[in-house]
Formats: sequence, C-alpha cells, structure tokens
Amino acid sequence: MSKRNPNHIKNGSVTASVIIYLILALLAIICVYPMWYTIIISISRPIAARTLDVYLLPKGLYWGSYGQLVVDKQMWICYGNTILYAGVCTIGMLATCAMCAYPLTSPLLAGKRIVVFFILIPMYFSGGLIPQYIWLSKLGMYNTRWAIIFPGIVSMWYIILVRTYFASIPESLRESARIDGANNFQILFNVYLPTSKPILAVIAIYTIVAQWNSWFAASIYLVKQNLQPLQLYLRRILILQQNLTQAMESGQGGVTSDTSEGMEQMALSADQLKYTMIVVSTLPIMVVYPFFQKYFVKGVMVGSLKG
Amino acid sequence: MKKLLVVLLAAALCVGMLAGCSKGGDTETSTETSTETSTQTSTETSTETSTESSTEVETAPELKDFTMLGDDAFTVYYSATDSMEEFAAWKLLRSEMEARGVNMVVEYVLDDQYQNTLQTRFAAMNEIPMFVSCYRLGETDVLALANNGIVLDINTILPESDGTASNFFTNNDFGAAAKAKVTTPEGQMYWLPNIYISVFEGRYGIGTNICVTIRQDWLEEQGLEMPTTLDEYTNALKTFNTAYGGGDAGFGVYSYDPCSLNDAIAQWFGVVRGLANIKWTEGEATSPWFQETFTDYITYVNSLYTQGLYDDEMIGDTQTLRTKSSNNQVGSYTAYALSTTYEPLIVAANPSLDASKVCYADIYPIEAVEGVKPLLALEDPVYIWDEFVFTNQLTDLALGAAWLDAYYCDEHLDCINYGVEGVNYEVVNGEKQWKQYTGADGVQYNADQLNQYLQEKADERISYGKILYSRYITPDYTYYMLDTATFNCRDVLGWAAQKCEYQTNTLDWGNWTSIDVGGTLATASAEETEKYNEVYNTVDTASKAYVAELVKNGNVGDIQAYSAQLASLGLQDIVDIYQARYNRFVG
Repeated sequence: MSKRNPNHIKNGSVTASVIIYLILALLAIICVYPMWYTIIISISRPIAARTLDVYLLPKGLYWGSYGQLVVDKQMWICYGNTILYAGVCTIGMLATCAMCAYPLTSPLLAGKRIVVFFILIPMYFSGGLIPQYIWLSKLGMYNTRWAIIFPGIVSMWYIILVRTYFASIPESLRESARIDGANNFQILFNVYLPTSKPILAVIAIYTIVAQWNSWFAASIYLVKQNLQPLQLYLRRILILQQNLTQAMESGQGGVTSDTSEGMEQMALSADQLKYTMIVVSTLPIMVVYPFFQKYFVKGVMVGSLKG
Repeated sequence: MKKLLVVLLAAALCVGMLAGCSKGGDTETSTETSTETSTQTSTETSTETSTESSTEVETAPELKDFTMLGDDAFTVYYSATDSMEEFAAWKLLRSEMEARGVNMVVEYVLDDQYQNTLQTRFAAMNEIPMFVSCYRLGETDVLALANNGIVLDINTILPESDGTASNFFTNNDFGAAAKAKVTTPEGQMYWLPNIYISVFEGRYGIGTNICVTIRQDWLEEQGLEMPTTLDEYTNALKTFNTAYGGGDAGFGVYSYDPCSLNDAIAQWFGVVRGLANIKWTEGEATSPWFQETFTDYITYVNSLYTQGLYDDEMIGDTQTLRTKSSNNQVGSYTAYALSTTYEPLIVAANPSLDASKVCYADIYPIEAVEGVKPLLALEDPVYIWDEFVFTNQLTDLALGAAWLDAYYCDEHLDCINYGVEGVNYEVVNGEKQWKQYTGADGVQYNADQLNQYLQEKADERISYGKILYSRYITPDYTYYMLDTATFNCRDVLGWAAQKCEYQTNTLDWGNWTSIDVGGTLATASAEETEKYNEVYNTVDTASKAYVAELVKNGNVGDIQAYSAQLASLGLQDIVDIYQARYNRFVG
C-alpha cells in the first residue's frame, strides 16, 4: 500500500459539503415556503383557508376565488393602472436620469459643482409628505394620474448612479464623436446610451418593482378608484376582511346568527381572496425577474469603487 | 466670465427654488374640481326636485352648496360615488335639505383611504369641505382642530336654527343626553355624535351585556348543568378538557385574554372592566388594581391556569381564537350576550356536528365572592361615539343650521331607522308594516331587516339611513331593537334560545360597569385629554405585563406593589379623569 503523500491537497470535505447543502436547503425552504404557502392556500377550500388549516399541500382544489377575481372588473382596472404607472414611470425615469446625468459628465459644464450640490440636497433632505401634498395640489395634480407619475419619474440617487456610470465611459469616445460632427443629443443617444445598458436595465427594473409595489402615494393622492393601482386594491381587500372579522367577533348588538352567517360568507370570500390577489399581483414580477436577475447583481456593484 | 456665469446659475437655482415654494393657486378652484362630478348629479337632482316642488311651494329657497366629505364604507354592496343618488332614503334626505335651501355636495372617499385623506387635507388645509365625518380622527384630534379654529362650535350654529335642531338637542331625551356628553367643560359642542339607543319592547335605554359563554352542547353531552358556582364552572372546563381534548392543554378550556382586563370572569368578582371604569350603582370610578376583590380574581384565574384550564395561547393575544373555535377547541370564552359568531364557523369547519345543537350559551353572573354582587359589563343604552364636524369653510352659519334642521327633523330621523314610507313600509291603522321584497333566487325578505339581505337591498336601492349613510357620512341616530335580536335567537335560530332567555333575564341586573366607558361619559377637557394621552399607553402596557405575570405565577402578594407602581405611572390620574367626567355627566 503506497504511503499517502503528505502534500496531498484535500478536495473538500464530504461532511462539510453535506452541512453546507443542508443549510442552503433550509434557507431555500425559508425563502420559497411563504410563496408556496400563499399559492396552495389560494387554491384550497375556503374553510381551510379561513382556519389556516393548510400546510404543505392544498386541501381540496377550489378555483372559485380565481374565478371571482377574473370577473372583478375593478381589479383589472387597477392592474392596468399599475402597468401604466410602471411603464410610464420607467420610461420617464430613464429619460430624466440619462438627460440629467449626461451634462454632469461634461468637462465643459460651468458650475457643475453647484448643480451637483443642488441635486444632492433633496437626496438627503425632503420637505416631507405635507409639503409635497400641497405642492401637487397647487399644481392641480391631486386626484389625477400625474400625482403618481410626476414624482415617480425623477430620482436624485439614480441620476448620481447614471452619472457615475457615464463617467466611466472614456472621454475619448465623446471627443471622437464630436470630431465626427455629432451634437450632444447624438452623442448621448448613439454613444452613451448603447454602452450604458447595464445601468439602464438596473434602473428600469428597480423602478418597475418600486412602482409595482407602491400603494402609499396612491392612498394619499388618488381618491378616484379608477385611477388607483393594484396594491392599493389588494390592501383594500385585506382591510375589508379584517373589518368583517372584527365586526363579527365583536358580536355587537344586531349581529345575529343570520347576519353573522352572511358576514361569515363574505369573510370566507375575502379571506381566501387576499391570498389569490397576492398570487395574481406578484405573478408578473416573478415572471420578469429571472430575465433581469443578472442586472440586479450588477446593480449592487454599480455604486462601488473600482480598483 | 466663467465666474459670472456660475454666480448667475446659482442665483437662478435659488430663485427657482423660492418661486416653487411660494403661495398661490386657487383652493376654491380645486375644491370645485373635486366636487364637479357630485355637483353635476346633485344639480340635476335638485333641478328636478325644485321643478316638482315649485308647483307646491311657491317660494322655494335658493339652493346653496353645502360641501361634505364622507367615508364610502359599504363598498361591497354598491359604490356610494356612483349610486347614492338612486337610493330612496338619500332622495328623501336630499329633498328635506333642498326644502331648506341646502344643496348637499358630497365627496366620497373609500374607507381604507379615509383616514389618510382626512389627515393630509387638514394638515395641508387644502380641500376641506364644510362638513366632515371625523370618526377616523378621534376626539383628541378634533379638539386640537377646534383649538386652531378649524372646527366650529355647533353652539354658534344652533341659534340660526328654525327650532327643529335646537329642539332636538334640548327636548329630545337622547339628543339632549348626547349633547351633554359631547359638550366640553368649557361649554362648547364641537361635534355631532352617532346616537345609538337600545330598545326592548318599547323600553328605551336598555342595553345588552358581555358575559362568559360555555358550550351548551358539551354540557348536555357530559350530563352537566349550567354552572352557577365557580366550582361548577371549573368542573365543567375540566370535563371538557378531558372528554374533548384528551387532557391536552388549551383544548376545550377557557380561551380569552385576561391582560386587557376585559375578561367577563372578572365581573363575577365585582371587578370593573378594563384599566379603569365606573361602578354605576355607586357612582364611583375605580380600577381593578385598586379593588380588593381583584386579588380573588387573580387567584381564581391562576388556579385555572395551573390546572391547564386557561388557554395559555390567549394570554396577551386573542388572534388565534377564531382558528381555535373553528377547530372546535374552545369550551368557553367571553362574548356579547347575543353573539352567535363562532357557531356557524364551527359547523362549517366540522360538518359532522349537529348544527342545531352547537351553541355557546351565556352563563349568568356567578357570585364569586360572598356578599359581592357580580357586575355586568353593559353596553351603554344611549351610546354615543364618533365625531362629525362643521369646519371654518362654513362661513354662512344659517346654511349649517338649515342642514341641522333638515337632518334632525322627525321625518328624516324616521328615515334613518325605518326608511321611506311606500318603499320600506306602509302605515296600516297607524302601525308600520314592512314591505316584502323578492331577491335573487326567490328569496323573500323584509325591507326592515338590519343586516340581512344587504346586497338585495342595495340592488333594489331600498337600503335606508342606518345601513346606507349614517355613521360614515352623516351622524347616526338609530334604535337598536334589542328585542328583535333577542327573540331572533329563540324564534329563528332555535338553538340559541338560551341566549334569548339570558338577555331577557339580565335586562334589569342593576349592578353594572361599562363596556366602553369612554363613550358613556361626558367629554374630557383639553387638560384631561392631554394628561390621559400622556399616561395611558405606559400604564396600559405595564398593566398587561403585570396581569400576564400574575395569571401565570399567582403571586398575589405582588398586586399591591404593582398597583402602587401603576398609580405612580398615572393610573390614579386616569381614574380621577373618569370620575370628573362622570360627575359632569350626571351633574
């Protein structure tokens, strides 16, 4: 039997691998289970959903709540609004960020420091909700789509991000384009933007996700239901369910069995509906995310220092 | 040159910033814009109405816009924004208003956004209407708005009344009682409250109560009688736990959170409800922590706990009560006397059970301490709550008075409770007889039934005041027919007959404390409110922690130290405030 070479390099330990895989599997379960739970409870029998008697697999198959959602006209209106706000804000954000960042990278811009300083102030200090509310009201945007779109297409942080990225593009490209007779718009659209796809993709996906999840601004500025986004509608369903439950459980005078049975039916519907709504509202993001995942990773590194 | 350009640029940026922050704009324009839709509808309606009425009344008053903001709460059945004008009850209210020259222009905001809308609009003083439902803000905020001159004193409006509204708040027993409760110590009346009057077979001012309930079907199955002593009650829980839970902790036992001191078992010991309350028979404000029998209560509850008969999961948190009920695990809990909330849930989740037998029967108060008559936590028979205010946007006080006159006239108060003659009822030989409607699938329903067939009522547009707009858009003034609810348990449900008997037999119990003491007493003064808000959360948090400790370890020797600690934190102040409010209320 040959002697074991003392300089033999170990190729990892099986035990360590098992432990690592177990930990990772546990973390994966922790991340995946909540979504799985939401999906299975949304297709379980309503009473099982109401009593939270669902754990690993759905109890009975019930598609009624999805059916209820499909015919819910208001939900589709809100869905459309969310897509509209996400789309318009994304395009607007990319446009404003690119057009603000480009001149800030030009060495010829007079007073660049002052402008940058002026941009940085609102990044750190905000007037707050009430001044913004007054501002949008005075502009006549209260209870209109502009109340969501207008503030949603500008971000100082993203401008700085894009500016940083633009600064990494060699100045020689700009100079050679200028020598070729290009003006600033042509340089921006034909030279800078094509080479800035990673940062633009990052900003796009961040904006889409932010707008998709947003509800607070709408709850403040949009009173008309037909202008409201999906997340606000989901919140309304959740609150309705809580209110129904509280009304029933308070057992206040007037709540007889007949009334509580009727309210119980409504509570059952609302109870399961919230899970169904969660699935329906997160589906687009779940579908879109894998395509943008690499940009998320890149985005984390974008703001870092380069060696 | 470059420096000059830089300076000019910096100046331009600063000027631009200042210009953006300057005042301007026309709030009136934005108000008109936001109410454009409702104005259109109301103008059409008012034109119709005024055309019709002009043939009868030659001098119809000129209509003036009265802007209102209301909570669109019943979104499940209809949209207030789209459909309110189609309802008979609303049309009647509108006609009463227009007869007095008031054109209601209502903006509806969905319930979940209502609080945010109120807070931002008041903070920004933007788009404030003349009349606002402030029930989402609370007394403290309304008083703060009043101190800033944003909310008007209704006593300055009432003198402009034609007598209807002023008569309501003076000569109507319940209106006068409500006014007494909401009037501040300084004599101002800043809001209109909801007024809720319990009625039992023609007796006004009779309330329902909160009690301990117990599974009646389980008692029958185990051959037990309804408990009348503490030992019998304990024995029943023990039997349930063994028979239905296999001795497992938390199964078949008493499930209710003791920490908030709202547990009805405490009342068996003569202990008042909540952190502080009134013993109405004696006219005394006190706290459970200052009562001698509190020790006996803690001793008993601790004994239940140590025997595994008090659901540990409920201590500090009742969120799982619904789940446990549906899993058929709860043997006893605290509830309103007529509550039948969990029985349908249990039956739905456990189809093998006999639906005609599952019932949480109400336990008559047990005299737990010899010589101490048990208290009953009673719902205030003339219950007031919430705030509806006139704002400083109402510059024409006569307009506000006209609104009050129209709202509190007898015809409209009837409409809130009974609906519209010819639509909801007919008068036959001087008695109201409810009309019957046929809903979906041939369902026959009465036009009077409060919470039943709400969708059908909405579809027919016959929902009346108390299920259509009062409480959320305008103040409520309703009679809660306690007798209807009571006899429903016996005549309709059958299995809840015991609850009917209990409710009937406890109407005149006599020794009571309040379920919601805040809504029962006269309004607090600004100083009292400030003091109360300063100390309440701290005292409440500490009290809950101490109760949880005591229930689990039963160290009654600690009660005195805990009481002293709570008193120093402000519990005595809370008791004193309640006493002062009580004195003003009865005085």
